[in-house]
Amino acid sequence: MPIDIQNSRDRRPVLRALDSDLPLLATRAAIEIDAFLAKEETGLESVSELASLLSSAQVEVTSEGPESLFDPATLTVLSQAMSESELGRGMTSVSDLVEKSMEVAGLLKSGVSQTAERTELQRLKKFCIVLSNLAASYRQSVFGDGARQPYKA
Amino acid sequence: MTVSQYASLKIEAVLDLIYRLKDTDFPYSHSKDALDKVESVFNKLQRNLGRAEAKGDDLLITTVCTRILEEIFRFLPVIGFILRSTNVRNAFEVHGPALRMSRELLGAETKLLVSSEWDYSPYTYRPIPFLKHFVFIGLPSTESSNPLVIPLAGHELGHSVWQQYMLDTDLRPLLQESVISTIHTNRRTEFKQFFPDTSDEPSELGNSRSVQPAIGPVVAWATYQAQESFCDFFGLKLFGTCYLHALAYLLAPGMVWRPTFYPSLFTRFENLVTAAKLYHIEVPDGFENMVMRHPLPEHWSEREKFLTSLADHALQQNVGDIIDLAKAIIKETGIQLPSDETANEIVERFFKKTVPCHGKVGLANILNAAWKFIGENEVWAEYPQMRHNERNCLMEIVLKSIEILEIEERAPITP
Repeated sequence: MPIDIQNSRDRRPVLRALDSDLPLLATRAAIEIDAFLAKEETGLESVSELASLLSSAQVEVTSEGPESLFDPATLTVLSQAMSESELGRGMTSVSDLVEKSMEVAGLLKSGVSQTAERTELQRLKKFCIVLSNLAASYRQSVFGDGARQPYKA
Repeated sequence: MTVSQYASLKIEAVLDLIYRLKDTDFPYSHSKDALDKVESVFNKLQRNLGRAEAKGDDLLITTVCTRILEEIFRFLPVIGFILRSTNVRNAFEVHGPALRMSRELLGAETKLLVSSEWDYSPYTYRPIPFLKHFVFIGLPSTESSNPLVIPLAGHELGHSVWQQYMLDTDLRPLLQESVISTIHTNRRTEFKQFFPDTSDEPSELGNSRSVQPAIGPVVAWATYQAQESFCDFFGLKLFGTCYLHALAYLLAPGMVWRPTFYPSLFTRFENLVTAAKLYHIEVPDGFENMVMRHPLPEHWSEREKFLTSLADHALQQNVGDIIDLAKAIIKETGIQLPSDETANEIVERFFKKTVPCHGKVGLANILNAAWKFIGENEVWAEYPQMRHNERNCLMEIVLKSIEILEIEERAPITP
């Protein structure tokens, strides 16, 4: 199947567990939520960037459910992060996970600045921390000892 | 002291190193620009740590300190690369033409660092998120003044192009589909053997959440293998036959071991021959037979071998698309491609007279001419004073030709 490269330079970034900057981005998002919880004015730049990446899960809804752009590594890491942070449990299909990702993206996008519920914000903060650590450790299963140097190719 | 205090001191040590390095001489400004960027990364990490320490809980502080440690591990080799890019061992003649080529492919804002490295395999750093627009090309220190290996920079540029076009997005679904269809059609029994608790039902393989951990590494390996293959085809299309010469010179007959996320050298050579035929590029005599096919390492577990074979198979099922993709992207950039005619003309008019060429002939044509000229042994008989020093003479002629090319590109000389 020929690949169409038109407009590919302008593509929207997609969340990938193996992207070298995801662990740091998620940690910074956690710091921003923490600061928000402490009522400090620090901005939510990383939260917004992470939300945007999470919402890249869904491109269109087909008859078989939302079509996911996430690779299996990302789905694995996301699923575990949601489960550990109590944001989502009992998801059996990729479609469930994609829908949940969109929901979490929505919470991060608008929820952090509007929601007063501390428990939800605490869960989002934990989700960011767990996602950060899981993404960093998943590299080991793909690159083995090369995982410490993700920039080299 | 606490872990966060340690982290803070480690950041200060990195910043101190950067300040000291910034005092050195830089043959081109891009190396110093890169150091400025790395400095800003660590300044930001210092601020992140400060904020986490002020209000954060233990888990958050530990996580921040872990990320800091990871970034030090990642960036120290990058800082070393930046330092070595200033070393006089490098063939600085190459920087201008290679930068021009990089900018034609990646955009005018591209910055290039070429360095002599203590790693035998040429390498690049995948586009680093905090160093946008920087391209790093490392060549082994034993060959860093040898212009004949420059075509391999085409492979390294391919990594930046892959990232810029976000080709993962195109290829990963195709590779994943190949993996799933292979399991379903041919390897179901083995899959069940290694993943007894995972559903192998065709309808479940794509959509079941429980299947993702099983196929995750395989799809990632296949995608990285696809990227490496794309970079080979990209280098081949960009530089022509001299890419094959340079690759064979540096890596044949290959090593016995291989990483799972890299195609074997045998596969790379085989696929390059296929691509060369499709691109109408001449393959050097005996190229296909320069590398031996090795079985997967004996010490790997049966499960590891099974998963790697799935990734290898997925690559081979999609290699035609990847060959087309490299060609389509190079065509889109409109970059000048080498021609046999020009390379032959350079050999006849200049190199056979042991003089550098002139004119805007392009970097790839000069390098193709150099590889063609290597076989012209009888020419040297006319120059007894150069006997036993032929290789160095050729390198000087080629480097001088590249230097003249750069001068003419910057300030065209009218006859």
